[in-house]
Amino acid sequence: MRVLVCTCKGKIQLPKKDLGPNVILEQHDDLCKKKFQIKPDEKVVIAGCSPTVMEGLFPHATAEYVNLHEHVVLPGHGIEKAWDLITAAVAKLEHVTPVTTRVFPIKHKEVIVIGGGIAGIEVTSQLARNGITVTMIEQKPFLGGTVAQLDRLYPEGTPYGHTLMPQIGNMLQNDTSRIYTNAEVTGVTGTVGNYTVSLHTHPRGVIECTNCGKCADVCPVEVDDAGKMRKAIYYEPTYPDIYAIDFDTCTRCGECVKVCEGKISLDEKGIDKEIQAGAIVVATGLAWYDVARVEEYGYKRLDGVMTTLEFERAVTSGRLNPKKIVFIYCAGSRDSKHLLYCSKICCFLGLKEAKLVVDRFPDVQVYIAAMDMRSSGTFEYLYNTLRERGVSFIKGKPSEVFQRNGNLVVRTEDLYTNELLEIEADTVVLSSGFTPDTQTFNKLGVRLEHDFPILFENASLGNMELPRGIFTAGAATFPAGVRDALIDARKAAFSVVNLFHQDKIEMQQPNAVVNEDLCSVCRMCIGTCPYGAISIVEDKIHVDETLCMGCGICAITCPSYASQLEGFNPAALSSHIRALVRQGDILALLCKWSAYNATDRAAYDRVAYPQNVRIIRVPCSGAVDISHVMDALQNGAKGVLIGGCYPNACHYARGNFRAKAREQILRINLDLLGFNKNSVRLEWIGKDEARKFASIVKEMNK
Amino acid sequence: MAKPLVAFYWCASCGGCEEAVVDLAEDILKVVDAVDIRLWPVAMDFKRADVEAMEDKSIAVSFINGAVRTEEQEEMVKLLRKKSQLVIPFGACAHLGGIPGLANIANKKEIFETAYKLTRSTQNPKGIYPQTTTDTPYGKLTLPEFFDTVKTLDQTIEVDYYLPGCAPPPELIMQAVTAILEGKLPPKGSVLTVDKALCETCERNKSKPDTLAIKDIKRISHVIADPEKCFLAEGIICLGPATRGGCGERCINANMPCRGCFGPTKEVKDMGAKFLSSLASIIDVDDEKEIEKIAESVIDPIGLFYMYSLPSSILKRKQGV
Repeated sequence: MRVLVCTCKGKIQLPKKDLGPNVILEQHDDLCKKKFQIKPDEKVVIAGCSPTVMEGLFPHATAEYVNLHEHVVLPGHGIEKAWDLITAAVAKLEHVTPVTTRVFPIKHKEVIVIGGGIAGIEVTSQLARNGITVTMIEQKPFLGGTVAQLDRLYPEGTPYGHTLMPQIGNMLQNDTSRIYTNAEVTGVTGTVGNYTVSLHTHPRGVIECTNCGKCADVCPVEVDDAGKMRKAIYYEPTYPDIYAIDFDTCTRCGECVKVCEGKISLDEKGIDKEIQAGAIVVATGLAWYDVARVEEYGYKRLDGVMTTLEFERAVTSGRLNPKKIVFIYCAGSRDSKHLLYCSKICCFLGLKEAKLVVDRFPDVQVYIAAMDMRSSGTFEYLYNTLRERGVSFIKGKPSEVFQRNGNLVVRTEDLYTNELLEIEADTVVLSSGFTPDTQTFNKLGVRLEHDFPILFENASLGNMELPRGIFTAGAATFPAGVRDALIDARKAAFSVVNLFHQDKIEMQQPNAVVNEDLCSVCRMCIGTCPYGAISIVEDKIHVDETLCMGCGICAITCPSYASQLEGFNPAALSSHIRALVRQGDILALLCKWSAYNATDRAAYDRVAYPQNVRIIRVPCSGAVDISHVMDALQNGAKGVLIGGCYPNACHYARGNFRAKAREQILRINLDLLGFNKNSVRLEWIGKDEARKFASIVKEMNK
Repeated sequence: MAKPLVAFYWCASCGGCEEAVVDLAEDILKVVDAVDIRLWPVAMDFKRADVEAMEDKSIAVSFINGAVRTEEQEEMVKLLRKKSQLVIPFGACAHLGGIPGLANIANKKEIFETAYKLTRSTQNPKGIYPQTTTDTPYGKLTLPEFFDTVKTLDQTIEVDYYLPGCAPPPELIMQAVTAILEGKLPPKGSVLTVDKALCETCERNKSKPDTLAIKDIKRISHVIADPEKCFLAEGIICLGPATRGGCGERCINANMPCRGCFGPTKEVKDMGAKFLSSLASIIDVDDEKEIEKIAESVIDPIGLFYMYSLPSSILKRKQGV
């Protein structure tokens, strides 16, 4: 075993010390900038900067990281602490099961793009230009996504077709892409380089089409499609150039069949298909928040209350001729009962529509009621223009929309004038936010934070790839306008091209492995896996290594330790704790996604905490076994802190709730065993909450 | 050829393990045919002096049941260790501490106070407690010291194998005896039963859903358990997943959940802590207050999760008393 110590350009000097037989201590000047030859099965202690920095540099090592820089040097803790940490890391590594290097050949250098909106189209074009075959899967009968539903794009009111149609044209120039419309992904198996995606294509009804339009003329079914009227058989001028039947509204009267110049079938069956690919790009775009849930605004209950999309489509198709309009911003956004976040683009959408309507109807009266107007960047010009054109901006969040004398009334406060207002209007437009496509992300095992792919929050890490060959593009990553969606799409295409330059990738991500000699198939683990990676195959527990994300929750659940997480096996952790914790210490077992980062933050912000706080980085608070807490207490620990992500922010779905249940059960038992039950605490500590961390450990140290 | 010498001894135990030997029924004759029982206080009259007089290592195997609670027990097991080639803890108390081990949530003082003073049927106004020596007009009387902490046999002396169970089932006893006689023993330190947990052979495991998710914990005394269904699936605590199998599912067949007398599986040090970690994973509640409520709904958690294994757990006993 080697111990690589970084002297941080000579700032740290460790005296020579015997770490036991077979342990070689090497000191280097800057560990982060050198290339080290480390054999795949070699165990190394890497003592230097925070593991968050170092682990990216040693991808093929069964390594234990000692945080010399942030846990010893910056907090000004003594050199003896450095030795304690290194010795404990050696003790852990002696018992650790190595992390297997798994090689994933890039078998299929083809890509599946889920979603045929502007982002999906851009990714496909970019990839096709690089000679990569793309299969695009679009849920709707026509491509174009949200852009195709809009009349114009902000900030300049560009007709949607001016942006979308050249994009589609460009994409179709390359014949390396296959496009499935009316299709949905039903399942995904495999991993990077070798995915199999099952898709189901719903019947389109129209098989051969000359685009004559007679079918729509005779169709008796009128459909209100988000504010615009169409028939049950309809056409949108994007792609493909074939009419489609909306079977949700079609009455199967057969009128269209009679006049069709091509071929229509009302009892066509759907088709199931499987497609192989080496990478998947999720470009599922925007999903509007269901604004009917904001009951006080009366959507679907009161005539004249509509969404921004419906408003835009109704006005531009000539169906709506409003006189007095109130826009309600943040309808269901930044609201503890609805979406907590700001969707970033709805302010712009509302401004665009206000402009559209004042341009079209010079006498119209427009009010915009907004908690805040977030017209960042050049949107401020649009905002100023509208003010000059007489649009009234009200600072406030309307409390209610109701009907009075056949008119809609919006009740709101106005914080500019400090008045309570009741504004009568014929049209109320609810500007709602957007929701993430958690269904697709979960199907693909994408780690989420606040329901959006974790990459979004951690973009600063420089790792633009989601786990294992899955990429996001456009508004699926986070609500975005066309410009940002296109930039994001190019980023995704670049990542795929990068990936496909290799013939195989090696990954040393820890997986759960099951020891069949110990497994009784008790099934306790199956339901605890956040990714559905565990199943029973031929009467044995099977962990799908392509789905396992290495959280360790199943391993801690296993009542026999038959399932163990590589590199984090209980025997290793136990010896780590026993070597690290002494009488009167506090053991802090901290989630690597949140609480552990708070200790780094403490170092940078010079937030002091006692030297007897012994910190161990764990994959998830849900991967802490009660036995490990017992180990620490038996060694004389004064307290054990388990630090995890805030509720609903766990990177492994429900790991922190499992930790919560363990803590509760444990505290009761400790009380009965004569311990102060407050000596074990589970705390939610965000990655920047250095002060929270410090105050908790100080309190525990009393 | 002289038959191998065998000793049976009991420490802090209920006598059930002695019954288990008797439960061998006709098989006991085979045992007696093959071995020479040299010490068995419950059934035969041998004195300590007889054992002391024996040569070291002259006993082939000593089966010792019961936990170690008193000075006398400690002395006797040390003596037997010296005289025996093999020592096998016999049953849950010697193996893990067993039911007597639950006394580790109290100490000597508390136990004496309860037993000799506070119980309703006791009249002890002077507060007289057993002493290790008492002077009487007729001479000095002695009693063995009563320890604060109950220990397992392997915390007192080195042992070779473990025969688990409360009490060990006759089939396992016969298997062990046969293995010893035939010299077909597994590596030292093995528990003489299967390595996998009870669920492996439990008939009810088939009824277990793939995803165990319990919203509240039920007590076996409050519900009528479906004799076909997995207890855990019904929200009744069953330690089967955390307990070594080989017991023949005697409790399960009597529609009672497993309480863990066979002890933990190979890799697990602390049975109670391990099972609690597992149980917490299948509690399907996301509300912090609700989780607290469920955790508090377990009555006597130490008695439930550590019923047989408190002295062998990591913390071993209640601290600070």
